[in-house]
Amino acid sequence: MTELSRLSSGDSLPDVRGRVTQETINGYADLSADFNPLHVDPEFARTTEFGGTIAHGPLGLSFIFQLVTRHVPNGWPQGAVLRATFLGPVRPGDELVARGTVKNRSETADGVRLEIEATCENHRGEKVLAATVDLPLKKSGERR
Amino acid sequence: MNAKGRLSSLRYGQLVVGQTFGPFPYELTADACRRYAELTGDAHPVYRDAAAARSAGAGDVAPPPALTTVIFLRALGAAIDGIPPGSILAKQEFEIGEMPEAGERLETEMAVVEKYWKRERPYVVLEFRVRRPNGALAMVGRKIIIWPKQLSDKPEEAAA
Repeated sequence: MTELSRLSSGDSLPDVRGRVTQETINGYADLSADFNPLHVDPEFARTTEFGGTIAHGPLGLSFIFQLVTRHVPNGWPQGAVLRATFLGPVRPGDELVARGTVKNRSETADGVRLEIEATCENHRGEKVLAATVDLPLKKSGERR
Repeated sequence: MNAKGRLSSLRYGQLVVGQTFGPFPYELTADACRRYAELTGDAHPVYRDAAAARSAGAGDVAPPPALTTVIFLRALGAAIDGIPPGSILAKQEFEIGEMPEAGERLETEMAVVEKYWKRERPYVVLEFRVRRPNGALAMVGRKIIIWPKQLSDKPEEAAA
C-alpha cells in the first residue's frame, strides 16, 4: 500500500492489471440487472457494429478506481472526484492495465490534494478509458 | 435489456431537463460487495474480509466505490428501462461522499440535468444521487450519454 500523501508531481501509482472475460461481463450484468444483448448475447452481438459482445462501459472503471482505492485503508476515498472518458469498447479476453500519474500536488489547509491522470489500456495498446482523479488527503496519509 | 426483459426505445425528446425519477431502493449486501470485488479482481481485503474491514473501521465489509456503477444502472433500468440500444456512454463522473455500510438500504434518485447537441449528436446528462438511510450522500454520479440519432429529432432552432 503506497502512502499517497507522500507522492509528488510526476510520481506514478502502481499499475492495476486485470482480465475481462465473458463470465466477468455476465456477472456484472447479474449485479446491475443490465442484460442488454450487446453485452450478454454473443449471437446477437455478432450482428452489431462491434462484431461481438462488449463489456458494460462502467465495468472498466473499476480498474481506474483501484489505482486509488488499493492505497486507501478503508477502501473508500471520501471527497475524491473521478471524471472518466470512454474511448473504446472492452471486449471479452481483453487484458487491461490501468496506469496513473500524479500531475499536480498542492498543499491545503489540513493536508494535500493530488490531481491524478489515469488511463486504461488493453493488450492491443488501445486506450479504452482516460480519467482524472482529484484526491484530497490528510498529510498523515489518512483519508479526510 | 433490463431486469424486466425490455430494451428502452425512449426518444430524446421524451427526456425533459429537471425530470426526476425515484428514489429507488438498493439493499447493499455484504455478498454484493464481495461479489463485485471478486468479479473485478479487486484484492483489497476490506471488500472481502470481515476482520480486515473491522480493523479499518469499515463495518463487516466495505463496499468498493465502483459498486455504485451497478446501483446507477439499476436505477436507470427502473427509471427508463435503461438506455436504448445504439446509445454511447461518453463520460462518467463520481463525487465520493460518505461510505455506506453493508446491510444498509440505499436510495437513489435519478435526474435529467442537461441536454445539448454537439457536433450533430444529441447528448443527455443524467445525475444519480445515492443516499444512506441517514440521508447523507454516499455518491453523486453523472453519465454523459450520446443518444441514438434514430431516436432523436433535432429541434429546428438547434439545427439553424
